[in-house]
Amino acid sequence: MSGRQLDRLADALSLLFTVLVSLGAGVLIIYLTSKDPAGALKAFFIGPFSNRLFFGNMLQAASPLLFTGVGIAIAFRAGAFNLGGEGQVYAGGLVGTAVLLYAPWHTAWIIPVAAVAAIVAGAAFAGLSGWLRTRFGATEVITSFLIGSTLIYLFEFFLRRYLVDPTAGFPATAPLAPAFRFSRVLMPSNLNLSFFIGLAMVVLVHVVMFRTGFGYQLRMAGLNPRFARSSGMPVGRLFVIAMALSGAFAALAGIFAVTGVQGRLVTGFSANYGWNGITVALIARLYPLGVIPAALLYGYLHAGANTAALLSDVSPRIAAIIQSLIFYLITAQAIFAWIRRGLARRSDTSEGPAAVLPGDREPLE
Amino acid sequence: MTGLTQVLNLQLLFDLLRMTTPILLLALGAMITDRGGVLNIALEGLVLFGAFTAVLGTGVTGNLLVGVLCGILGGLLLSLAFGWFSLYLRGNIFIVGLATNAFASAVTTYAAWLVSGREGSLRFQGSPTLGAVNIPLLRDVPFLSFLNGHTVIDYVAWALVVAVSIIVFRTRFGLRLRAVGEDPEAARAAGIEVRRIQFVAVAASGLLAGLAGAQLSLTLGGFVQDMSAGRGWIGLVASIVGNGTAWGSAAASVLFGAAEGIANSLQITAKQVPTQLLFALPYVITLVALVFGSATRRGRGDALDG
Amino acid sequence: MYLECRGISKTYGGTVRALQDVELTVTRGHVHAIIGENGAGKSTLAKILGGLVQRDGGSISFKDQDYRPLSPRDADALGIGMVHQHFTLFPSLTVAENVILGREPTAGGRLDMARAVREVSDLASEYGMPVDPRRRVRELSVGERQRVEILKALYRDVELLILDEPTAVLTPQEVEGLFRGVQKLIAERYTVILIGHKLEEVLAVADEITVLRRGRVVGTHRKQDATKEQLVKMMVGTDLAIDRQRAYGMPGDDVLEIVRLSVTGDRGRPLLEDISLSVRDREIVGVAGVEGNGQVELERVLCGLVVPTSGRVTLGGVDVTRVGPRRRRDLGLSYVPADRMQWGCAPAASVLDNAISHTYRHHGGLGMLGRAALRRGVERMFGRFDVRAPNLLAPISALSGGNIQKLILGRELDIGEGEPPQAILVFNPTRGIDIRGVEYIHDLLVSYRDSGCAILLVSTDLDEIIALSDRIAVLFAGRVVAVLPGRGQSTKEQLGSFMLQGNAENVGAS
Repeated sequence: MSGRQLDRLADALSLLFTVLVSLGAGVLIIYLTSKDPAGALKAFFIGPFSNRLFFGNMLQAASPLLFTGVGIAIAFRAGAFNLGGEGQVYAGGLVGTAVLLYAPWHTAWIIPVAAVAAIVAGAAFAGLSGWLRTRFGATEVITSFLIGSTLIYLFEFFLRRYLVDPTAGFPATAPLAPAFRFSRVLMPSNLNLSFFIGLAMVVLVHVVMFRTGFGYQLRMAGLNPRFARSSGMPVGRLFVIAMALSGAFAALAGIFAVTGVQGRLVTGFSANYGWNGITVALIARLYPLGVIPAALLYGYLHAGANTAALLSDVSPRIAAIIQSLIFYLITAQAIFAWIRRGLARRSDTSEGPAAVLPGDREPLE
Repeated sequence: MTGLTQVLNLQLLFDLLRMTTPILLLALGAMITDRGGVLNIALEGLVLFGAFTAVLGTGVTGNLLVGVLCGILGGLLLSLAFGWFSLYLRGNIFIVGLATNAFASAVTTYAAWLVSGREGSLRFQGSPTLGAVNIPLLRDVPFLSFLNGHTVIDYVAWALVVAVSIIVFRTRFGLRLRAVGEDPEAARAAGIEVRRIQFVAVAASGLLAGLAGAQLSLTLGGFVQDMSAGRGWIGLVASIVGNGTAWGSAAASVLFGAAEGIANSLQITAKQVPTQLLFALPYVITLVALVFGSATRRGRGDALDG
Repeated sequence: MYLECRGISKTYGGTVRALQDVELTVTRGHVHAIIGENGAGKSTLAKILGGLVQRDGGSISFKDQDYRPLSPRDADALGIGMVHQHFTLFPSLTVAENVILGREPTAGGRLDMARAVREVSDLASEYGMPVDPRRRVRELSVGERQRVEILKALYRDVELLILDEPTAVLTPQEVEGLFRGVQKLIAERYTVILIGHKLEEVLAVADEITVLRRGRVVGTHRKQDATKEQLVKMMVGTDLAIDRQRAYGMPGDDVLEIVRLSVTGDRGRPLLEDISLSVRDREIVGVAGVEGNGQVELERVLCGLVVPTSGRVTLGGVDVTRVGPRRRRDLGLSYVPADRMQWGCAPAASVLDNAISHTYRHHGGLGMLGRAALRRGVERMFGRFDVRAPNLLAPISALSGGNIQKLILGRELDIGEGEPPQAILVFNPTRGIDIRGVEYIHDLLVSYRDSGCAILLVSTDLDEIIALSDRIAVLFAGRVVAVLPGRGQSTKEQLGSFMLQGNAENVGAS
């Protein structure tokens, strides 16, 4: 096996290691805190596959992560950190739903209009963060988070003040017209069209990233901005565009969560879509197509925890704990290095792990 | 506008100082790690975890001091994990910071449910809360009365501003810390163990964050899910705006604490201003301050030219 | 025996022999200079003595003990301190803080700054290197910063001081100050090893001089026994640099004109001063010079990343002074960067991705990359430029340096339709490349010249300059100090003299 192939193998193995260790910790917690560990574990691991409802919901849980995950992957590839995903999800949901609530006609063709409105909102705020970095040098790590948090509050404000349905009994809008809701494809679960749109988007991003001139520029700017600049590529502009794109995708996750699952805009509807998108992108090693299995993995964890909560005495929070452990380990280069050393052969040249993020530490000699 | 006149009074100054403490402690922690070259976005998770452990400690033992110590310990332990995963396992510093925040949020909420059966909050009946300290001198002087009646931690926090300033600028550790933050390569050439210094800085920030968490939860009397409410981030920005000095961070913290204080006060007195916008106000002010702060000096993010 | 090195060798990456069989004897209390051109091995030798790099073979004994430091700290502890060419100072810290770092005096846990300031002050005045310990390093001039570097070493009780290219960044007055300081050190029974290439200065202060060339010791002389001519000859060699006879060009009209180009750095320090040069078509103009005399700034301005403080660059009559890199290329100015890994490619990206950084714009519709066409183009280009890359999708860092350079050349020179560019800028094109690669690239440049290009060749490799240039300009301290005829009509001594001291005093005619 060549050095490069061994690198890829070590990459895959360290990913496997990360997931297994995190799952293992989750299993341990369940074992220690549940009165019926066997039942809880069975519900967790097997539950999502046991019937249509759970299975469909699992796929649907992955759906928003397809969007946010691929968006974050774009940003990372360009060297940008988008930590405002949550806010962008909410912004997209809000703006898109507003369009649908005030639309004069109730045909399905309005949905793309709402989606475009959502995209504009998400892209604008994420792009703002990127622009602040190129113009003022303010790190997008913090500005995207601050803007995102502000957006969440703005969402709540607009929802409760202007869009709320008084008869609803809790902060939510009136249900959307039936024409604006995606039909379910696997009853009785909530799996709907948005899942397949997500798949299509991921493929689209893959094509753009690797087959177009624009995607090429973006990648080069992220890999070596100096080289990109001396080749005449507009590095600053690409940075802003990449941020804007990741905001656009997050916004789509928002609006499609509304049209696909909720059928109305509800307070706090995002189940950490923005944050989990980051981990999904990292598991996918920033490859768009890799986002699909990564998102499905998260969907599985989410579904497993929910099923275990339903059928047993486990808190659905277990998924969040496992997910955060994966988050801890996923970029630990020492794990890659350790596995790679174990795989090393004579006269071996390792080129290092696949994904390199801004802010990675150089290994100290 | 009655709301506005009611806003500008000594009560406000009192509340303002109260609001400042957790941000101040977090800003000091951020300043220490920043001086060592680590942008610490894990503070949010650290303070949350400290808040939880403080409530747990107080609830189980009925003793406030133990509770505070548990808070500090909680912040410290989680910060050690942060340091280990990022510095020794070589994880990306930002991702590990985010993971810390996610982990703290998930674990504290889950543990609260485990202990109290209710998801999202933890409160022990009859558990003591941090009380006010009366300093007669301050109480009797009219101008300064707003300085009186704060909790022990509030006063300790300001003492820590002095302490941190001394540590960073007048001790051997502080000198090495600043060298590491400025140029880790050159520091290594001078024979300094870069990783160890950064790890200690991270642990220090964990201690401070834990204390901040204790202040948050023990004045409230319980733990509420995600009660850190962005203060970790605000404290981080306060240290950036404060130009990496202890007093500068303190001043910026007061500014941000004021924003929060005004927001709270307006919430009560000016009902026509919606609460969500008031909650957003501190973030917006922080954002503007950060942009100004970055524009006027070469900050962490270098301006990329087109 | 104070310091004695025998048979020192060091090879990098299995192929580059930085040092071979080097012998060095340093007498206590003397100033011993080690001189040579770029690539002679001086820096490597200094790093070995300073503990930064481990020697591969040979022995060193210091004060009659085997000397093998594993780190700069070890070297310090044994009494050998090094002052680097590129300062390792902390600009935001004070002088005193910089000097004491790692060895701080404390009083009960707190830094005893008062004592530190006193000690640094005493040290500074003792050695005639006045500098205020309380000032921050970022406020200091370069000369003052160097004093801080030296004080750092002195603070650590070293007895042998290695100064690596100390005068490279100093003004003449600062150089004088430095040498006075060195004389004081000698008076105080220190020993100094001075690494450099500027002859005047070396002769002013050294007691003994060792000349290195291509990793070997050419000779060691006492100052009174060596003349300048001898030293220059030893440094650059007298062999005919032209290994193969190549025909020279038949120049036509001016194509690339550089008119009074100046670049001023921060604090008003002139990085490039009044550079005027023109290159005609079918001509190669070589710019010779030792590294650090303005080549980097020249590169930045000519490729379009930096706007000069004053002056003009025109290409075929068109003013391109403020034009960016892409437009320059479109206008017919190709550029091959000096630092191929930092500026010339994206090391983590694939060979294919690196090769198409210009052609990607032209293939496919709808912004789509016509992958097959791009691939074919790249394969054709690889064939023309002899790039051996079996797997186009492997990261480019997997290729040898020579292949990477050929890829970059092909990418930059092949501007389409087989038409050559109007003008080509190449910077150190054969650095770190094996003999065969060097031959190939030289032939390539010559053939481009013959098809009508104007080529500006900026290189620190004097042999390369002599082999290819029709005219030779010499860059020294940011100025063009001479323009001499190429084509074998100028001797290495003449050129070497200009490169090493900025003038041609005391060098006989060829």
